[in-house]
Amino acid sequence: MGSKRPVLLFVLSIAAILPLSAVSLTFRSFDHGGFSRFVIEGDSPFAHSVVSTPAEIQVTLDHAAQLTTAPVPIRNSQLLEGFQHQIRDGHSVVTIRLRKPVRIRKNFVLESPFRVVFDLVPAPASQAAPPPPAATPVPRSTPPPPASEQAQPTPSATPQATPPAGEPSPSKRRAIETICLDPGHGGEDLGAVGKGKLLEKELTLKVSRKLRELIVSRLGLRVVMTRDRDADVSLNGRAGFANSQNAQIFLSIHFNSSRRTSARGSESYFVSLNATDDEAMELARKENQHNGGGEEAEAQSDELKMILWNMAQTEYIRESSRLAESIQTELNELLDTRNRGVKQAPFRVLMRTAMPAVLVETAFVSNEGEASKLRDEAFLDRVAAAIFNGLSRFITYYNAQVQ
Amino acid sequence: MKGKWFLTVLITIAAIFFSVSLILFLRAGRSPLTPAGNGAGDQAESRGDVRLFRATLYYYRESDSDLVGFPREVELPGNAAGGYRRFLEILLAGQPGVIVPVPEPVKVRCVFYLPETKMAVVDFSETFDGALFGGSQEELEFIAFFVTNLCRNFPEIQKVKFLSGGVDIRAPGGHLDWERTYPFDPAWIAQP
Repeated sequence: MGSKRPVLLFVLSIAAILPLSAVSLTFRSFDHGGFSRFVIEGDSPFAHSVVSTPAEIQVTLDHAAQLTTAPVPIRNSQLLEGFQHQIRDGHSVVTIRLRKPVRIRKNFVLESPFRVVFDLVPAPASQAAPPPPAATPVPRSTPPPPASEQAQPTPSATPQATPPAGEPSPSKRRAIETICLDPGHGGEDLGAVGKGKLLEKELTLKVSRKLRELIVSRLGLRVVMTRDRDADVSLNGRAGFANSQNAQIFLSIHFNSSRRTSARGSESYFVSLNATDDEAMELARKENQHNGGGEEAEAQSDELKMILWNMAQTEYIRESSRLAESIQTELNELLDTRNRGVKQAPFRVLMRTAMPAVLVETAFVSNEGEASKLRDEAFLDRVAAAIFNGLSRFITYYNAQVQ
Repeated sequence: MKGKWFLTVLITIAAIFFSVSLILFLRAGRSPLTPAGNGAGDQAESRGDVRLFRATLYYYRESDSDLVGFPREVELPGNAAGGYRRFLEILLAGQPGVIVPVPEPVKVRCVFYLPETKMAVVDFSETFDGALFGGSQEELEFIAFFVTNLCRNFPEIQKVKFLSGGVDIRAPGGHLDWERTYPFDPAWIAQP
């Protein structure tokens, strides 16, 4: 029995060492669109610091790591000559040798698997690489790749020869001819649910149909709808459909809800495009989409998509704001609901529309008083009429500008 | 006799290994995710591994459309990441007379801070996917609730990003873009 004790102690001491076991590293690199990317991948997170000189970049890990495979030489890179892994004083040092002076455009960390990524661009003449942040802390997790695109819209208008869905059409200032109405939610996406199974998806479709009727009969304009039945339509699909139909106004109809049952009133939103999604996040996403092949093509494609999508609404913010004001004013006048005003928020369906775009939250299904009004068809008629009045006032203004 | 001598050597080596490992492990454990003395730590009184933190917890009330602050002293773990998570646990527990704008199945899996972007990442457990966000107001209140509480109590946090099970959240209620990061907006707080 006594002879087992030392063995137990030995096992315990080994167990205590385990948390310090070495990280295994792999490396990869590629050139794309004017920059070279170098990635150090670890099988577990590690802290590190970076020092750069005109000839090389040195990444020092907080402890010694081991290599999973032998380093593959860098070939055909405009900026990277090669790299080396050494253990110095118990620390792993990865030295990236450079063909010419570089600037570190981006240095960021990703997880699943853990990666330290460098994007390098040629330094301006007579300028060496500036020092990057000293040490990058270890996150526990990072944004992974976005899921694949969702369902396509179920258009209610006659298809025309159009640009591919999803890409903003080139904008041409001309009098309003086509309006896209977007009844929020649909299919399995019920939206807000009020008392007595008052479903937002049904209300949005009802009001959108009433509004279409008014626009067609009174203004004689073409109206397309992202859905004209109870169907699932993705947010990207809705924006893509509006763009592909060359719609000149996008109007998304919604009904609100809150955990505060006293919340009531109508709101009109236009998109907020605060630059909160920084470029590092974009690049992180791209890097996360790495699947071991075709990185260059994938990165290029993603970059293009991002630029196209995110810039779509920028050009129309002022007009979107005016449209929201116009509709909100009418809602305030015609409806006996509390004015919650015109607001900005990053609504996904609005961000990617290439036209003046507004989302109307008509009333709260979570509020007992407003919910009971929403069960009344006559009230829904008034809602549609209010939105129509605001819309037609904006159309008058818009058309006057383009003539 | 020879066996006893071998065991003594083995025990000695094991003891040395154990001591060195323990020292290194404890030193590694002290490396914070955030710079020492930054933000939350400035408001805290350390008591060993637990610090007393003077927080302001922001909640909705039935009578207020904006968040209202409630000063409170809370005990947080000494390390920053654990501190953020514990803070959110206390916050989500709520208090009498307030509304926590978070659907039932939503649980915080972990919170971490990225100093280079001054961003906190709140990673919910996979049960988030079952959460129902009816209206855009519910989504806005949810986002404002987390962002306000983190940014107002931890000055090092300037914006917040949300994940579910380590994965990007796109638009859980069919309204807002949750892939982006959200900075604090003073308009979310009720004016005195």
